[in-house]
Amino acid sequence: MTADPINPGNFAYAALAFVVGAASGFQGVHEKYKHGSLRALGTLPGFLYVASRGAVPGAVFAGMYAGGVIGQQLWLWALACGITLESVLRTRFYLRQTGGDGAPPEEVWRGLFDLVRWYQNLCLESAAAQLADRRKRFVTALLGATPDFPALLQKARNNLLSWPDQNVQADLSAKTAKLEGEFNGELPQAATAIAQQELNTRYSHKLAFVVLDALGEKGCRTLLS
Amino acid sequence: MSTVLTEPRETPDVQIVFDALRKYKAMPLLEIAAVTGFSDKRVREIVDALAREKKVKVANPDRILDAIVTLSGKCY
Repeated sequence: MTADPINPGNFAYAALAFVVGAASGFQGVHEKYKHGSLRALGTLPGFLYVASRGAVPGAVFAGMYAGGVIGQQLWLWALACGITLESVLRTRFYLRQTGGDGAPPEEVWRGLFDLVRWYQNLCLESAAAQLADRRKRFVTALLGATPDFPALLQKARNNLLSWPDQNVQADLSAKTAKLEGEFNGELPQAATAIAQQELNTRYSHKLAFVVLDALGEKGCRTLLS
Repeated sequence: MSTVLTEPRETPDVQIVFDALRKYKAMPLLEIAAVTGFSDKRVREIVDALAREKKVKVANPDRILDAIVTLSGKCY
């Protein structure tokens, strides 16, 4: 293979390898998050996961080019780097079969894919926790520091009357009635002002989460603001 | 919490919590209670049982307003 002089502009071909790796990484995110995959990608761990999956084949391509291993047909080499590395990362080897004593036999496979799966789980769990924390902060910001559950419930009910979707109205009416019943059941046990405020805050948050789950952030603001 | 669930996924309540967590992957504890309709105490029992089996992780477990339950990546 001929080693042509290194042209810095040719490192741009690494972007092709990057795209192949990143696309494989995103496929893993989409497999687990489905429609929420773009939201997961919007978190730092989600973004870092996909970017790092692209960076590995990109770096391998750049290293091979800088080392003079490749010099021609660079676009093809870039694609090959991405595809080959992804194939290698997905490789698993059969080790043994476990089971016996009536237990169903189970094949044991190990390989680089286990490492990728561990890294994926680490990043995606972290992304999920960030998304959950974001929802919690949204609710806290919407309700303020000392929410009043009965007042919030009344506001939600008033606003719900003008909600266009009858099914949503019925569903939320049933859920809010259940929350109200539970709140009234716990209220006599809240003897102090602090306990009452804690109860108000807890049930206000639950009400907001019910609405958030049904209508999303925009609907939640509409109903509870 | 007091209740010990040895086979959490075979209990219908646990399956409901599990399904909610599968949808969001991680949720504030109060959000789980809100969307499943279970009491906070029942959700805490289920989450504690799942945590013992390492199927979920709980951040800020002592503060109910801040507790966040994250489903283990192996259970996605």
